[in-house]
Amino acid sequence: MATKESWGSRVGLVLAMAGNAVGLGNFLRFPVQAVNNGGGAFIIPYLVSFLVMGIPLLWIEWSMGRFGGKFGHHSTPFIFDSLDKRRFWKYFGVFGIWTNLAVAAYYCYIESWTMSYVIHSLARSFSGLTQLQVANFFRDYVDINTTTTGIPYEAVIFYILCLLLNTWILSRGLSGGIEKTAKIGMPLLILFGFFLALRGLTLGTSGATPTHPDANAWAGINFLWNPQFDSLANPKVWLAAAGQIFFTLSVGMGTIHCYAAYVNQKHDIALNAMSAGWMNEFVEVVLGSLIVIPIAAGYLGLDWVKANAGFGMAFQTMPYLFENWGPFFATMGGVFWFGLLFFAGITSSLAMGTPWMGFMQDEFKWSRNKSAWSFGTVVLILGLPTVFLFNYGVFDEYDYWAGTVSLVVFALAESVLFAWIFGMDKGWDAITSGADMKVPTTYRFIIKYITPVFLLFVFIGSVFSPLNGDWAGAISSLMNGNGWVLDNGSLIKQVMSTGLREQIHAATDAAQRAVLEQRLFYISAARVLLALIFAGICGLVYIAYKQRKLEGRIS
Amino acid sequence: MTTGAIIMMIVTMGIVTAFTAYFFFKILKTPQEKLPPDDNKG
Repeated sequence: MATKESWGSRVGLVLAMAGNAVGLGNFLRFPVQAVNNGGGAFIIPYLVSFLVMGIPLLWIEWSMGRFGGKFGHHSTPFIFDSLDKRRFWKYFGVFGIWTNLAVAAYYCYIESWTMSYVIHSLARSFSGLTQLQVANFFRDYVDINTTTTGIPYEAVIFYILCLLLNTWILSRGLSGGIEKTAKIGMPLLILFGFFLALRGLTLGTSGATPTHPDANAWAGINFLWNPQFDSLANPKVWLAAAGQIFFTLSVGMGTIHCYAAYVNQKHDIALNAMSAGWMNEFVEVVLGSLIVIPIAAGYLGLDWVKANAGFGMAFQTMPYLFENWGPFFATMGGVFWFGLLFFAGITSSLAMGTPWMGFMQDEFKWSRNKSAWSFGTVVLILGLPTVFLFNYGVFDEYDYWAGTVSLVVFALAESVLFAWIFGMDKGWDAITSGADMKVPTTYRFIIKYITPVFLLFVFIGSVFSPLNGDWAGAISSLMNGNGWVLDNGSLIKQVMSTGLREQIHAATDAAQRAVLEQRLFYISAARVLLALIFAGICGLVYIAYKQRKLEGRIS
Repeated sequence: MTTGAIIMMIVTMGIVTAFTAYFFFKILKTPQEKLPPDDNKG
């Protein structure tokens, strides 16, 4: 079956690619990472990571995608396969499908919260609630045994509605579905973001109350931007900054390859990649830094923000803060905030559907409709455990393996494949061919040497992360012959679930112990499920490879 | 707000906004003719 997909316009492609990158993390993860890693100093390693790791990876992935598209490949297994004679690369490419299925499973769940919270904002569900009640509203929402609206299984219903919407848009195709959504979603997201950022910037001390007399939005902005140069010597800050660049640009996932595979060989990718990448940075650095932290510091004070900064603020705190704006503006604030998060989420989750669809269409001749609905079905099967077992840590387990570890492994493999196996001569041609901008030649050196080394450090840093991220202390302990004490967040300890096992061991109450053991069981089951999906995709790649061999379609 | 924070914020936001605007306007100025992808062989 011929592949008829193509992008409708260059602006549409750039907006879709920017939408792929702009996600919930731009507004929720970036400011929290900055607060937890030295405030203003964080921006320096963050921008350095963008220049030496983010931009090179964008160019690598765009050029790999367009190169693979020449041979009719729209997903990473056979895009990787086309870059080297050795056949094992296609199994590294499996990460580029698996990651998206697993991440979409829990990402669509967060997206469904934003859908639901837009409706709750319009319905004024948070009116008159205390801060604790708003926080409990969210806790009840994700607890499927309770309901916030009287609708049983509200969280499940919204999750399925969200998945149906994603699947329907995907079934409309690249230009008819994804591109149209990006053309509507991205401008609206920026508009909503401007409104909220303006409020964050102008709030000042007007939100101070007798309960929070020190509340000051500018103190929040000051903390975010005040450069503390001494923290630049801390590897923990650099690793956090590099990690944020990964998440924010959606590199190491396989989505960029897939979108770029539908770009004509004569067309530019260098400028497109820059435009989409910088647009993401604008949303993150300019808008993302001026919303959550300043507004929260403006009503609750900086000390509260430092103690409570985290993902939950978006749903557990922001609706309460908007209520300070009066009924009309509180509704508007809620709709804008959760609407913004919804558009950020859906433009990313749609991108996660395309590698699977491209693979099934290319290799098994499935129609667009069939491949879109099969994506929805697989994500539903994978996602329901995150919904029903949210409080047992299944959601976090998916996020750790698929949304964190997998990205680094995949990016490291692709940077080595591109720069060292495919070769920088051919790689440079792939990047600069048809380019509408002059690509700085220093990037030839950066892509070949700096980016893989940088990625290797990020990987090693996550495998051997020392206790409390104290690298200086760990190195000195090692030098003194006292060994290297790993943090429970390190990859090695995560594999062994050390933190949870320690909690089980320390539990004195039998009921508490039983809950923790149940949590360990569900986490292990989630790992098995993820591993089975990975093995299943490897199996499909193997079948497709055999089929290609039979038909003489191996490039 | 401290002077350091104000400078850091304005300089960083200025650089990011300038690059974003520059690249996006360059895209708008050079729209590409609509060509199909090269893979219609599937």
